Amino acid sequence: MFEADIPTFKIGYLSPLPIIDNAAYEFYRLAPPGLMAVLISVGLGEFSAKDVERVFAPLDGYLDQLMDRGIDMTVQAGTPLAVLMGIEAHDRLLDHIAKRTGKPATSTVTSVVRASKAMGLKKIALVNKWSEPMNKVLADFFARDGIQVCGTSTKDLTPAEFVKIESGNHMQLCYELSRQAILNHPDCDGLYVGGGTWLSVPVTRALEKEFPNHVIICNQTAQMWDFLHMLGIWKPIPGYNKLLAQAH
Amino acid sequence: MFEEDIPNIKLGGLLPLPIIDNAAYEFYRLAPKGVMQVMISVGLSEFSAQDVNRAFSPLDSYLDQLMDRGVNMVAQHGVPLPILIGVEAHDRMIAHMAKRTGLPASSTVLAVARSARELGLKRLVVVNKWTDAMNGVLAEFFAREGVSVIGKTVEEMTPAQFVKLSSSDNLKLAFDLGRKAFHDHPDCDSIYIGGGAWLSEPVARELERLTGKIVLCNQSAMIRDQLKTLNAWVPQQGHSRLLSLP
Repeated sequence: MFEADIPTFKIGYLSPLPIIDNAAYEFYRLAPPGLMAVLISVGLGEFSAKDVERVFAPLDGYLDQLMDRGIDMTVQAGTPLAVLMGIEAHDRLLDHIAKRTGKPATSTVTSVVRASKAMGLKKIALVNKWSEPMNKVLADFFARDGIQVCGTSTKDLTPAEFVKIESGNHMQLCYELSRQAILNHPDCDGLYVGGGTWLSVPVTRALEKEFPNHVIICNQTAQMWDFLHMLGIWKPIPGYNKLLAQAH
Repeated sequence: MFEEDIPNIKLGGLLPLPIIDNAAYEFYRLAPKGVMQVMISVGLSEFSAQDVNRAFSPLDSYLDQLMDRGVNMVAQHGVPLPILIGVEAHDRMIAHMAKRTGLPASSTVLAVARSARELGLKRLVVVNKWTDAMNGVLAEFFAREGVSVIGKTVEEMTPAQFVKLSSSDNLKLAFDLGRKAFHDHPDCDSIYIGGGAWLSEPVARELERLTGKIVLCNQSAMIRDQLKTLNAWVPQQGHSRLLSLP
């Protein structure tokens, strides 16, 4: 009777910040019918390894709650958390999540790197609001999959600062930093526009239109692409960007 | 450049449970384009006044965070919380939220009770997983709007129990209880299916089709009430009847 209404797949989301807004908004704009996000905020307060450790201290409790809700996979959302803890700690975290839940586990940074590789990117520029040390570790994640980070275009802001930027101004910032990245690094074949507190999907669409030889990767589209592949239900999602239009 | 993509309305919400799942899923199935929900979980873990007080002790900080995100109004979600603390404490909290933020403030229980009044409902049966005591206070919220609760059809459960029900079992439970409510109270003019841990809007739609009577549920009441408050409500077809009304 309610087959069309019951979610067919549930994605457990360890969401980084105390507030959930853009993530769910963009998720449900992209998601095929029947896909549900099951979200827990881990409540990161600042960009530090210490705060990342604090927020993941109750991890097993979070995972048990997600499993109670019948999730099909889990994502550690938010690239900053992964780059603040470092590659090895991140990999251990995902292994633990997969083992604890018995379900596939991924992370935003994993989704982004996988998507970039799938699009054949070799030289990528980074666009975000993170520090230089954070971007160095991010480059290590890309390097592991044979992708070179050839430059950055950033505005270093703390979470407390960037959550206060109004949506329109935030998107404009995203767009301008991204344009700058492409113009300053003409040898790049793509960008990774990182961060979930700006609505980046429309920006990637506009940029790929303006720079048709480039591929623009952002969190939401990379994650959706990765989730649907991991669940074995991938179908192209037209109208957004090159990644989501892919046949495979 | 991005005018079509920027959310034109942001609804700030204090959501009751540590996990956000059905609330966002149903919201984005029903909400018009450009309406965003900005959510904080207050993390209620048990149905007690003490736990409600604990969950709301950081209220001002939550409100400040919602204001930082540029919300247009704030709402306390989840009927159990106000019915655990009582009508007066609820009203004080909503008044405080409005004063702190300078924005309109509301709650699920206000939205549902107001909807019942606007629809001219007089004899309502409540359907939920709450205790007798909780339903007693719920009836007070309705009575204030001139609506009598004439009965209840309930399967009492704690949050720890009901969060473990699968989506389909939860839907079926809502439907079975709703159908029983109409069967046991043929003189009711409506039922209210309370609770956000089951997907109630499809159940409301189906029960309305079967009975010809109105079925209230949290999501439809909240979306309509909040958008009406912001003078942004446009009736929608294809869902439960409340959403088709001006």
